[in-house]
Amino acid sequence: MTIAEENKTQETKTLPSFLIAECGTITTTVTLFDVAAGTYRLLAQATAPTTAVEPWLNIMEGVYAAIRQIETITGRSLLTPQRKLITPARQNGSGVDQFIAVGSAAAPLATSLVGLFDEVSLASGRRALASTYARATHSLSLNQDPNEEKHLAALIGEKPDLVFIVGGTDGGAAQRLLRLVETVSIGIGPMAARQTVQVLYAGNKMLRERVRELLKDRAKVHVAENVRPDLQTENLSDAIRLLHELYSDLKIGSLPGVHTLHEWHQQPVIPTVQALATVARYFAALHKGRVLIVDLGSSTASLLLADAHHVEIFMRNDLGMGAPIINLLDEVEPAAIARWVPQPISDEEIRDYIFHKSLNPQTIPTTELESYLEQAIAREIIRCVAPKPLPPFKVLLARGQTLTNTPRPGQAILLLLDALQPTGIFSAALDKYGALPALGALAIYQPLAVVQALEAGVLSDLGWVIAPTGKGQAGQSALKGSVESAQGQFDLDVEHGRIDATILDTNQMAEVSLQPDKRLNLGFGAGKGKKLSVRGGAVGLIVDARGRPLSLADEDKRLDQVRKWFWDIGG
Amino acid sequence: MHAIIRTTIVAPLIRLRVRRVLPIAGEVITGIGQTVTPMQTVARATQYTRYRILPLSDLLQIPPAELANALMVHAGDRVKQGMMLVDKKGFLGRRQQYQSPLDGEVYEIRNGRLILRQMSEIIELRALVAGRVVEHIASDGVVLETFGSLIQAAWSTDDEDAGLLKVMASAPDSLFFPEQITTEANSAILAVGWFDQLKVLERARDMGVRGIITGSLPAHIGRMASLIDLPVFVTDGIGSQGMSAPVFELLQAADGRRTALLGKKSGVRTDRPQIVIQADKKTTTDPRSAAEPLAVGQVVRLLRQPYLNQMATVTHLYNLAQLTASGVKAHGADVRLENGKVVFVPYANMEAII
Repeated sequence: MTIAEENKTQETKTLPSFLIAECGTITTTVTLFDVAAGTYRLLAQATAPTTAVEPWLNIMEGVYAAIRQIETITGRSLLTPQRKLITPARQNGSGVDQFIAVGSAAAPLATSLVGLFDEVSLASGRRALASTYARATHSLSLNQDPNEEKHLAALIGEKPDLVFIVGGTDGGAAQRLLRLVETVSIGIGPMAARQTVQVLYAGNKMLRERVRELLKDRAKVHVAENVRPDLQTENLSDAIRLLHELYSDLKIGSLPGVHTLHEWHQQPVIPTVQALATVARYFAALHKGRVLIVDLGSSTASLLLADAHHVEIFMRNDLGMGAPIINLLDEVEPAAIARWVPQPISDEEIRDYIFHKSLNPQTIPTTELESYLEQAIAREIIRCVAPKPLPPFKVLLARGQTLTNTPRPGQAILLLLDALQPTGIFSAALDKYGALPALGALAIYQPLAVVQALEAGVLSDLGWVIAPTGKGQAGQSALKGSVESAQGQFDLDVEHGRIDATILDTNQMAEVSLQPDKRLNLGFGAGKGKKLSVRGGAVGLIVDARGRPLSLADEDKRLDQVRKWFWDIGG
Repeated sequence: MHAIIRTTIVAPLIRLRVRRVLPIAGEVITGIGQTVTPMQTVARATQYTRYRILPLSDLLQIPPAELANALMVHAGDRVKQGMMLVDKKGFLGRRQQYQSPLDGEVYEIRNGRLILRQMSEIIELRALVAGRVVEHIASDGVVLETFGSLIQAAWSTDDEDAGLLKVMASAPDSLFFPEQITTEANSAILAVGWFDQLKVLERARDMGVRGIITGSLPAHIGRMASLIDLPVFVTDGIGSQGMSAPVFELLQAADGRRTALLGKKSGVRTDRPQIVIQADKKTTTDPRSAAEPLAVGQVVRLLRQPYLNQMATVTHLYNLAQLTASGVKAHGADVRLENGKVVFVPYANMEAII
C-alpha cells in the first residue's frame, strides 16, 4: 500500500495519539504526537533528568516530571492524580492512546566474547557488540592465549552479563569450538549457582544442539544465525537483533521502576539505537540514498550508516560527552582537542575540564570558552567513532546536546564537517527536539505519523553542503557557480582552503549550478560540474573547499585559521 | 515548574546505614545485632585465581561418565601436592596413577575433566565504622547501623580506610603542601582545601596517613592518585577551586573524630564515595529524601564556571528555557550568590545540598 492509499484508508478511522518516552542515561525526553488539522504533528516535548540512579532510584520520576511539563505546555491531562497514565484518549481531550518506551539508560551488557580465531570469528563478534550497548570485558580464543586455565580463571572472575560464543563455519570443524564451550561451562559454574547465566551462541549452526547440551544445566542459551557461515560471509544482523533484545531484557529490564514503563507500554523497552536504526532506514528509503546519523550521547557515541535495506552501526560505549568523556584522553592528546578551539587554552585546562565533566555529566557549558572546548571534544569523539574512509551520503542527521544546543547553528555544521570530513553533496539537519528515537519507535507502530510529523518540521534543517575531494593552491578559485532562488540570484566563487556559507532561508528552494576546479571532484568526476535543487536551512548553502584531509596550520597560525573558519561559517 | 536536580548529602548528624560488601561471594562472620569496631572483620572470602584442568578420562581412556567412579576424590575435597587422585588397574593389569600437581581443592569434575583450584588469597572485609549489624546481604556482606555525619564525595580512588580526622586547612581554598605532613599525621585522615603536587600523596603514604580528603585536585594528580596505595577522596571537583563552604564547615566541626572513607569497594549502588564521620550521640533522623522537586529558597551548589563551587539560594524558577551568557539555551533558575548578585543558572549546573 502506498502512503497515499494508507492515508486514505486511515481517514475513515480515528488515528491514535502517541506518547513516547526516551530514557537516556542523563536525560529523559517525552514527546506527544497527535493529529492536528488532519495530520500528525509533534504537539509537545519535554525533558527531565533520568532518575534511575540515586537519589531517586526510580526511572519513572523523570518520566512523570517530563509528562507534567507536557501537561503544563498543552493543557492536556495525561496523568491521574495517582500518576496513572490516562489511556486511551478521552472525549474531553485528556489522555493518550498509546505509550511507547525507548531507552539507553542502563549500563552496556558486560560480555565475555568466546571464539576460535581473533581475525575471523572474534572480529565479527566484536563488530556485532559494537552495534549495540555491549562491551567485551574479556575475550577467549585459540590464538590469543592457549592457556585454557587462564581463561577459566578470567571467566570465573569476570561475572559477565552475557557470554557471547561465535566461531566455526557452518558444517566446519567441531572439536576445538566444543572444547572452548566446555571451558565456558566450567567457568560459569559459580555464577550459575547464584543466577541464570545468559549465553548467546552465534557459531557453527551444526553444533547448536551440542552447545545446548554442554550448557544445559548452567545457562539459558539463546541461538542466533552464525556470524560467519563461511569464511567470505559475515552475517551480523540476527546476532545484533538478539543483543538488542538481551540489552532490553537484562539491563533496561533491571532498572529501578521500569516495571511501570512495561505496564504502560506492554512491550519490551526499545533500545534507542534500534529505534535510530529504524528511522535511519526509513530516511534512506525516503531520500533514495545513504543516510548518516551521528548520535553523540552522554554515555555512548554512535554513527549509523543506512540504505533502505541495511544499517551499519558504529558504536562506542566507552566514549561520550558524559562520564566516559574521561576515556578520550586515552586515545588523543589534549593538543588534538586544543587545535579546534578558537581561543588559547592549556593542556592542563583541557584535562581538568574533561575530568570535571566526567564527574558532572549532566552539566552544560555556559561560558564561551567552555562551549568551544566542549565542541572541540565532540569533534575528537566523533573522529574516534567514524569509519575510515567514510562513504558518501545524501542526508546527514545529528543529535546530542553538544550538537543541537550550540549558540549558533554554524558551529554545529562546522563541528560535523571538521569531525567527519565528509565528501560529496548532502543535506544536513539537527534533531533539535530529540525526536529521532521517538520517530523510530513510531515508524514501527504508525509509519504514517512519521511522514506527516517530518513534513510538519520536526527536524531543524541546517542546509546543504558541497564538499569536493581534491586540493588546490590556496587563494585560487576552487568552485564557481550560481544560486537562484526567490531571494534572488547570487554568484558563488570559493577559494581553495576556504569554507563558505551562502544564506538561504529555511524551506527556501534554490537551483544551484556548480563548476569545480579541474582538480576537484564533486562525486561525478574531476572537474565535472553539476546542477541541482537544494533547500535552505539555518546556515544555508555551505561550500567546504578546505580539502580532504583537512590541512591544519602550524601552531602560530592555528588560532587565526580556526577563527576564520568559525567566522566564515557564521559560528 | 516541576524541576528535579541532582543532590549531594552533606548531613551533620543522621542515622546511617552503611553497606559493607565483599568483592566476591564469601562468608559473613558477624551476627545480626552484633556490635563491631572499625577494624573488625565482618566477612571473608577465599580468592582462587589459579586453576588446573586434568583431562583424566582421555588419559585413562574411559568414557567421561565413568570418571567419577575412577577418582579417589570428590568435588570440594581438599588435596595436597602429590596426593593420589586416581589409582586403578588398567588394561592387562597395568596400574594407572595420577597425583595432584598442587595444594588446593577439587573444584569440579565435568565432561571427563578434573578441575583443581589453588587458594591464592583470603579477603577480609573490615567494618571501617563502629556500629551494629542490622542486615546480612546474602553471603557477601552486611549492613551496619551507626550515627554521625555523611558527606557524599565527587570522586575517590578505589582504596578505603578509617582513622581520626585531622583538618589541615585554615580556609576552604587553602593550598596544601607536602611539608605540612608531619609525624602527627600518622594514622590520621587528613582534610585539606586542595593540593597540586603528587608529593603530597607520596609523603602521606610514607608517613602512614590513612587517607586524604580534599576539596579539589588537578586532573593529572587525580589520574596518578589511583596508582598510589592511599585513599584519596575529592569532595567538590577537579581543578583549583578547593572545598565548598558547607563541606569545609562540617569537617572543621568534626576535627578529631573517627572517620571512614568508603569507596567503590563498599558496594554503594551508584559508586558515589562516602565520608562517614562518627558521633557519640544517637539520633532518629534519617537522611533527607532527595527526590523532592527544586523549590525557591533551596540552597544549591553551582557546578560550572563562572560560578564553580559557589553556594547560592534559588530565587526564581523559570518555566521556559533561557539564554545563557555563552548563547546556549537552557531550563534553569535565578539564584542569589553569596555576594548578593542574582544570576541565571541552568538546572543541569546546580545540585541541591541536603
